[in-house]
Amino acid sequence: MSSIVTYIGLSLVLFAIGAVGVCIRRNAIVVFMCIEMMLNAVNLAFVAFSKLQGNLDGQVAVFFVMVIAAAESAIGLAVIISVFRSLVSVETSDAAQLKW
Amino acid sequence: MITGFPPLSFLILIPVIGAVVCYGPWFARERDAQARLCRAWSLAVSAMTLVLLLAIAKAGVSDPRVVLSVSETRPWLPSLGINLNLLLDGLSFVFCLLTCVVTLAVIAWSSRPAEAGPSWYGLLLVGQSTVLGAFLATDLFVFYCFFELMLLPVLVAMALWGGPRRLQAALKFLLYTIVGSVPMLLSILYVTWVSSEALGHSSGGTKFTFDLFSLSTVNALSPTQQIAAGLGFLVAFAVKTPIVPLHGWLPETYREAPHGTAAFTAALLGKVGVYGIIRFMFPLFPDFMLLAGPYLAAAGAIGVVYGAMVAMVQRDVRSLLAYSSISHLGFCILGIGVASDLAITGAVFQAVSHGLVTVALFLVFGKVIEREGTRDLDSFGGLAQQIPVSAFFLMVFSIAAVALPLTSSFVGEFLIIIGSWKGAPGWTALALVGVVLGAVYTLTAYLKTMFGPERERSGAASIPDMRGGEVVVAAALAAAIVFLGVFPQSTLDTIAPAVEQQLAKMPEGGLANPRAQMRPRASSAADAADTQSSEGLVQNIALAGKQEGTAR
Amino acid sequence: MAGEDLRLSLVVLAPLIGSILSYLLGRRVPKLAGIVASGAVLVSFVATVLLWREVSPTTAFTSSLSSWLTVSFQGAPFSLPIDLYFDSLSAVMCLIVTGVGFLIHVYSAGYMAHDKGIARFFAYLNLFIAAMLILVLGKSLPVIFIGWEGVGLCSYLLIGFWYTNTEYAKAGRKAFVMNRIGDVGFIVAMALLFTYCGTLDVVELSKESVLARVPAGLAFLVGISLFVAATGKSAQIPLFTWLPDAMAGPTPVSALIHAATMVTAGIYLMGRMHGVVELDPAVPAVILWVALATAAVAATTALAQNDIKKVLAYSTVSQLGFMFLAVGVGQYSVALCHVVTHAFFKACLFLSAGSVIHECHHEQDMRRMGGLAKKMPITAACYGVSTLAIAGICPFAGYYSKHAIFGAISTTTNPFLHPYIGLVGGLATAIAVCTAFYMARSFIMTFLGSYRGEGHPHEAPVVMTAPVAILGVLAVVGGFLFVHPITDFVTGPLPPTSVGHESGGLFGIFIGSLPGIFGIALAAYLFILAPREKDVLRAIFSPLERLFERKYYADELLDIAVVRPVDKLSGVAYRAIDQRIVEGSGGAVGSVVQAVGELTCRMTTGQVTTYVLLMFFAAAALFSVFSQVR
Repeated sequence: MSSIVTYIGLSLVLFAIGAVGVCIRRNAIVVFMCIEMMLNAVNLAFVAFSKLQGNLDGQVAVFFVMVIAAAESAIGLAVIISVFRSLVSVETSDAAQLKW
Repeated sequence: MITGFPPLSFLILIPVIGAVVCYGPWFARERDAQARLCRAWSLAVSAMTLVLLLAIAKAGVSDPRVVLSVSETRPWLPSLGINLNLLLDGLSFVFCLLTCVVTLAVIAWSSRPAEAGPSWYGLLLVGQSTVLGAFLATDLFVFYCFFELMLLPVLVAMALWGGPRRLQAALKFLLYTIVGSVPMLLSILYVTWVSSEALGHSSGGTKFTFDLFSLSTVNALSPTQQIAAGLGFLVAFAVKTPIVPLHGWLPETYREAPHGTAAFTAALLGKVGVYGIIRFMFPLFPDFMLLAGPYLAAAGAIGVVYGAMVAMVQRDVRSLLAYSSISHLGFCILGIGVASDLAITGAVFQAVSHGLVTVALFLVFGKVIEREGTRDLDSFGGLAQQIPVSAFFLMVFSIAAVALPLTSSFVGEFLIIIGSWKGAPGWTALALVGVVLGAVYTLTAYLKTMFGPERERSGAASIPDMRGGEVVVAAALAAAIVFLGVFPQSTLDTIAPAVEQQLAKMPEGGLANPRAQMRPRASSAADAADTQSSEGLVQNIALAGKQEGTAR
Repeated sequence: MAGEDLRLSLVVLAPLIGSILSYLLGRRVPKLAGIVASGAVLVSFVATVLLWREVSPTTAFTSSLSSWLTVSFQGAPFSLPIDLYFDSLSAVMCLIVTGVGFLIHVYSAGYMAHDKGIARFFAYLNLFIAAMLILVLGKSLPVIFIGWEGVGLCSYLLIGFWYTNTEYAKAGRKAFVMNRIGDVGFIVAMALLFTYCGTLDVVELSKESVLARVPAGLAFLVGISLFVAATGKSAQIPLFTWLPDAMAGPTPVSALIHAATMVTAGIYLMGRMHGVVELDPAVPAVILWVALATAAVAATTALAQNDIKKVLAYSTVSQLGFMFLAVGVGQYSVALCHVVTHAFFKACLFLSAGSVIHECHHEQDMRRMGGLAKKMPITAACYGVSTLAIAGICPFAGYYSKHAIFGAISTTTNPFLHPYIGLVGGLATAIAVCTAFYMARSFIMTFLGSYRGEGHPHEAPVVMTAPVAILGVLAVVGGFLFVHPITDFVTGPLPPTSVGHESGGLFGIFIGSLPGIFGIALAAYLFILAPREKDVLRAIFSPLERLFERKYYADELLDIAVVRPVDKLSGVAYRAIDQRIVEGSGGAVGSVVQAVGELTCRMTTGQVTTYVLLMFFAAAALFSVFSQVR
């Protein structure tokens, strides 16, 4: 009991840190890292629940998340680089052209 | 009968496939050559559709005593009870035929696609396919899909190649039709939901279906529910037809759409509204239709006069045609409101005839507009000597628009008037005022265009009179109009049985018959009692409605 | 009966085919147009004569052209076959249409010889004959209506024949629209008759048992609707102003359509449907008063016209009024007799006038004519005898039919009319004096005195004078040859006439001719013997003259009462209702959508953090909602 609470607690803390980071940081790379952190927090929860339930469904989900995270970081970094090329900045607040 | 081969689905698919080819890679490099190739291709495709339609109908009535009824069904979303149910009976056949003929005429006429390249032809074919789908579908959900899809080709063509105010017109068109059809979607869901319980009783559990005939057989809606659901349908069809005062989108759409698209829209879109009311509302909401009848008849008659009056003061040719459409379709609404067999048959005939006449008028006036470079009636004049062939055909089509005997419009209007008099003499008489005004604006338009002294114009002569393909198209349309006027029998024989089937739930004679003396089936006492009670209900509702009105 | 069928169809089909042929051939060889067209009408005439010899007051031929349409439901089937029906009434009308029509076709071949549009002209003219024949031969009201609209269309096309003149084209449109108003009456009558009697067949509708089904309250409406139809076609008040304007068409057209045939369609319709007209005795009374008013208005208007065709046009309106007088008192066969004699002398007058106009280089103003009797003797003679005929002087044709009408007025038994017979008779006599006066005036101004124009008129070619001469002879002998035979002949389809055959001796003849003699004498006195006194009279009556000249301001009245209100209302409908309310409400929906859109736009800040926050809140909200549901 105590172990699952610890894992989920850690997961929650990591997720919250990531979420707050996404919300308040302006550097796109940091925001990106925060997203990764949130993903990993979810992964942690998946694994913990998987252990608790005693089946592998959660771990399968983790693999999916990891694969998608890898793909996402590849595309995301490319986007950031091309944003930097055109705006000479990686501040998210500067990339605000696509609004009304 | 053909088995295995789904002919009706093919009917809808052929134009779409043809359209895809239009967008495909082309060997010709130049735009002009591409357009020519595309025109030939789409001409072939639409001709093929027409031939297929006729072949299906021919196979469907191998015996002259058999009433045309070809249907097919295939599952689409069976868990929700949505199936691709298509039906080709007399009613849908005449409208499908109109669709094919109009598309063919519009494509054949477009010998000089000024603004429109290959994609315009593609859009037109898609348009044909969606309209055919709407006329064939008997599954409410599928019908709704086609009903909405129908807008897209018109909208895109208008937004891309339309007149100077095309975006505003497109937006208005979109708003009106979408706002109009959302209530219909809600009504469709409502009808299915209410009926599912009644359907479930027999099979245990709930069972969804969107099939028109199952729904109308179950007849699960109480008169009050019919009003709620019927209004949703009515709004959608009223916007599409259009019924005054929901016609706001029409003039601007007619004005701003490119020539061919405007002709296509004018000839076909409104007919879907008329068709929809007859096809779906009479079987699903008979009580509502009886209740709404007088209001519809009134709206129709007022539309006839109002459209004609507004048409009289128009200077833009296309606006004039737009309001004249409102006027002519008002007759259909009058007939639908009265709901006698004769009037509805007349309404269908009038809708088909109006489709032919309108597309013809649009095309010939399109010629004049193209030649003169303006749409202002007052700046035309004296053209009869310069373009005598166009003048001749315009006269023929104007006569048809005025509904002189031996043209198709006369048959339609006469049947409506004769069929409506008993049910709504006052409104029919009012509509007759529109007959006089119709002569005024039609002949005035002709006079301003063709008669009067010849005028000197710069550069007008660069575009010659109608020739070649255009003459063939105009002659074919004129022949069709006169044929329907002189030999309407075969068409009426096609329409009448289907109309009778649609009206099976209505009291014979429509408004002229009080419901109490409904069909002579009062042989069983239970039936009589049933009739009595529903009569009472209808009256109660009418009363309730009135009280509500006064309370406000 | 197959033989009759063929001939009867031929009567209608010959001019129809002739119409197409004359256009196609006339385009290549202009001379052929007239020959083909005249030939087609001649074929029709011969076929009519052959049929006429076999028909008697009690027999009739029927020929079925096509079963136009049938809609049969479980209830009553609705079927409209295109059947032709040839009885003695149709026979008389057909003979007039094809006979006079043929003469006018021949005349036109000369009159229009140098016109560019001769092929088109004869195509329309033949089409008109076909439509007119359908009108008089139709066995059911819808078939009559086909012809009714057909002649209206041809009239429209022929009035505006010289369409490069906008005024002419407008006259054509006016004629069509006014006729259209009458047509609404026709359609209403058809709708009512079908609704209550269940049939539109004229033979059925002449049976009392069928007519008895019309509810008493609606009898008046049915009858009056039919009369409205007749007023449109036959130019009675208030729909008469189109006929004078219709003189814009070529003169043979005026002779054929606007004098001899089409405008008498209203009288034919009244006769054909006399059972319906008489359902309510108030209807004949209305007809009679309207007819009397029309005759009076038109006759006085004709007094002040200087255009020779306008004089004839108003005289036509006035004579049509006389025919409706006979209809109003229930003497349909008498009305028909006047149709026949009027066709002779009015066609002759118009064609003579046409010759004059043709020779005077399209001058129509009588003040610029005069003295033409020496230059065009045959034409003058024909115009002269026709003037005597229309004035109603024995033994010319008009005397017999007019005399019969005067006789008919006194025999009426209509309760609404009986008390006023004296008044009606007096007014009719005054109108007859007027008629004689203005016709004599037009003869004097045109043919006597000295020539006041600039051209060099001489006698028209034979192709034109021959038909005029034939019609002139008919205007002389048509009365005593035909009037009594016709009244006997049509007593079957039409109720028997109560007017006797006795002539009343020489004194009776003198009394009968007296209004005509008086009118002509007055004209001769004022225009030849004492022109000064004419000027004195004119000075006294100048306000009246102005009133007459402007046809009682009928056009202006119609303009104020109908045209302008409708126009105004249409403008209001468009600008106030359509552009404001309808477009406005469309716009209102649009602006609501736009406002909502603008509001939601505010959420699109472009800052990632905003979106993420929104996302979190939305996720939280969804989660809480769904956990609640569970």
